[in-house]
Amino acid sequence: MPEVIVEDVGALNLVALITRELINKNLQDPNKSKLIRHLNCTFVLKASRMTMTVIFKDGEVFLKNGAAPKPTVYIEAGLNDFLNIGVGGSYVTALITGRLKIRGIKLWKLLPILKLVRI
Amino acid sequence: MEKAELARRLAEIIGSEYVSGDPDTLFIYSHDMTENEPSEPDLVVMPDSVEEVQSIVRLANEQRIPLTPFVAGANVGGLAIPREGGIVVDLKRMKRILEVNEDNMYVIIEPGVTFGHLRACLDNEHPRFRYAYPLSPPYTSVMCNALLDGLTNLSTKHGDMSEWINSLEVVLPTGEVVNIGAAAASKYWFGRAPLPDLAGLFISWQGTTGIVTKMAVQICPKYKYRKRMFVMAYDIDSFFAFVRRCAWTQLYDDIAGFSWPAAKMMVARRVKLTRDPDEPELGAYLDFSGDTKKEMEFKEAMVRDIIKELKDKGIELEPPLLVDDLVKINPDYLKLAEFPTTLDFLIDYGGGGFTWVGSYGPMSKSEEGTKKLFAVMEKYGFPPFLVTRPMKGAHYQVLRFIAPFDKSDQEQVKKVRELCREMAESLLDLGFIPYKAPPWAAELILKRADPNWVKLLKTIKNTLDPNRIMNPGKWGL
Ligand SMILES: Cc1cc2nc3c(=O)[nH]c(=O)nc-3n(C[C@H](O)[C@H](O)[C@H](O)COP(=O)(O)OP(=O)(O)OC[C@H]3O[C@@H](n4cnc5c(N)ncnc54)[C@H](O)[C@@H]3O)c2cc1C
Repeated sequence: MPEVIVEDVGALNLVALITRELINKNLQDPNKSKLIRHLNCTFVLKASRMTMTVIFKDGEVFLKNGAAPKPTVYIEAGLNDFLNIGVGGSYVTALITGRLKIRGIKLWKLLPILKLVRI
Repeated sequence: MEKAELARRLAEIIGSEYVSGDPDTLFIYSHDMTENEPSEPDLVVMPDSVEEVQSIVRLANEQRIPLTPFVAGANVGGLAIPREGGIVVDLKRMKRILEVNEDNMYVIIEPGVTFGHLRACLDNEHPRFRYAYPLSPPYTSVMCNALLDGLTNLSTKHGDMSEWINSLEVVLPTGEVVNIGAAAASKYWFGRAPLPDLAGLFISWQGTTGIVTKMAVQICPKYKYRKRMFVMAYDIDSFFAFVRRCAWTQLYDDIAGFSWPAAKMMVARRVKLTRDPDEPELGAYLDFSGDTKKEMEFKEAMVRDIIKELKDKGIELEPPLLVDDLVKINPDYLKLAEFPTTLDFLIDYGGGGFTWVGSYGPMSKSEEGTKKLFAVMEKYGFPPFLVTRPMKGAHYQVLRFIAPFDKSDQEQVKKVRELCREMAESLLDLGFIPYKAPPWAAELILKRADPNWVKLLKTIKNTLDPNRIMNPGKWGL
């Protein structure tokens, strides 16, 4: 099973650690792990003050703290909303109510990303 | 008395299978997980009844042989290390829950009853009741925890665990058995008032005044609903402002606090950690319960109101994160929320070393203490790991600074000793008092304590234990 690749786990912030767990959990599911095969994009999440970047590249997933410049998809939410969406809460409602903000140039990449960061 | 002769006499009392002088066994009892100096006993015994304990104590007293009571040895302070050798009295076999008195809300237990035993018994056979549970592993003793003034997930409301003790049965160092508390004058072990409170002769004495063989501890009603959440704070001042405000409502069962290394160490399984400056510095853990949904809604709404009220004053806190959600991502999060618990990521750290300086002190000094001690920990290269909790309706505060370390690395052991000493000194300077004080910390406390208090302590010890057989070397006694 593929796993998220991290340089220094001890340096990851809380949101990055949670995201790593969410993605790793999903990668155990063959249907979801298929999604990363052809996913080449950079995803930045800002949850409250913390930021992190996930890079999907040629079937591998890299994760680190901080925001990469010019991400394919950028998501911003409160820590609690991020967690709520991560465990299955409605992202549509969060979007409509403005608790979730999304920006990006290739927003169609959002769906596979969301599938990988939600359980 | 020769060791072989002593072993023979002990075998006559409890049977040879429960007496050991085997070097491997003695090694096990010679040390604990901390940096405290190891010291081997001559023999280890495992009695099964108060009569056996009495006979062992009488023999030891007659021969002036040190006795160290022991259950799991997980006190995190070297308190069950037999500093002057002699006999370790391992009480694990005395593990009976003798009575669960639902009407008067207490249980009578023997020393070997663990948190795991008690919780299973209450959950399975008396589901309307609960006890209070610490962050300790389930194999540790309920009685020892109460005798050591331990702290648990109901201490925010009800105080340290010695306050839950109703009555005791104790084998004195001279071998007599005495009942303490209501048990002295009533067949119901309902409390300690209205008699002169002699329980204080055994609480926090670290086994230096006798061996407790029975204890009645209070149990509480278990309510229908329960909710747990974390509220994250970006700095120490905001954290304590929130904790203090919540504690003053006296609505919550538990309001514990963990600094950033706690969750990260658990998830990352690393001890070498760095903090992202944008990351919360501390998290408050709230646990509350109630019999109706309305009561629960009110308590939850109150948390949100407090967060808003503090925000209006410029104090920033994250909205609550529900433990139930976190657990869906990683069941390990329950290790910080469901007690007793095995903090394997801490105690199974490579090299097996685990220590802390825990203290009780004035709530008003919590911020200053935390800042000062974090700086000390960082100076020694340890992540600033704090567990904290307001106690007894916010009348005092726990500050416990934790350091896992590699016991096989002598440099680290030396460093951790220096760290602990400096932390204890700093806490004492602020008016906090280290709890479950290891011998070196007891020395620091005694140096600063009222000399007449120290004199009284020694007088009591000499009166109860004239031959100085009970756990010598603890409390400077
Ligand atoms: C990871 C971890 C987390 C912990 N968290 C907490 C926590 O949150 N709160 C807390 O309060 N504690 C905590 N502890 C400390 C400890 O586990 C508990 O206080 C525990 O209940 C002690 O039990 P024990 O069986 O290990 O006692 P032991 O270490 O065997 O004995 C403790 C002391 O009591 C004496 N003694 C033993 N039996 C008797 C007796 N019958 N009569 C008189 N004296 C006796 C011993 O000589 C010794 O001085 C933690 C420990 C660990 C390892």
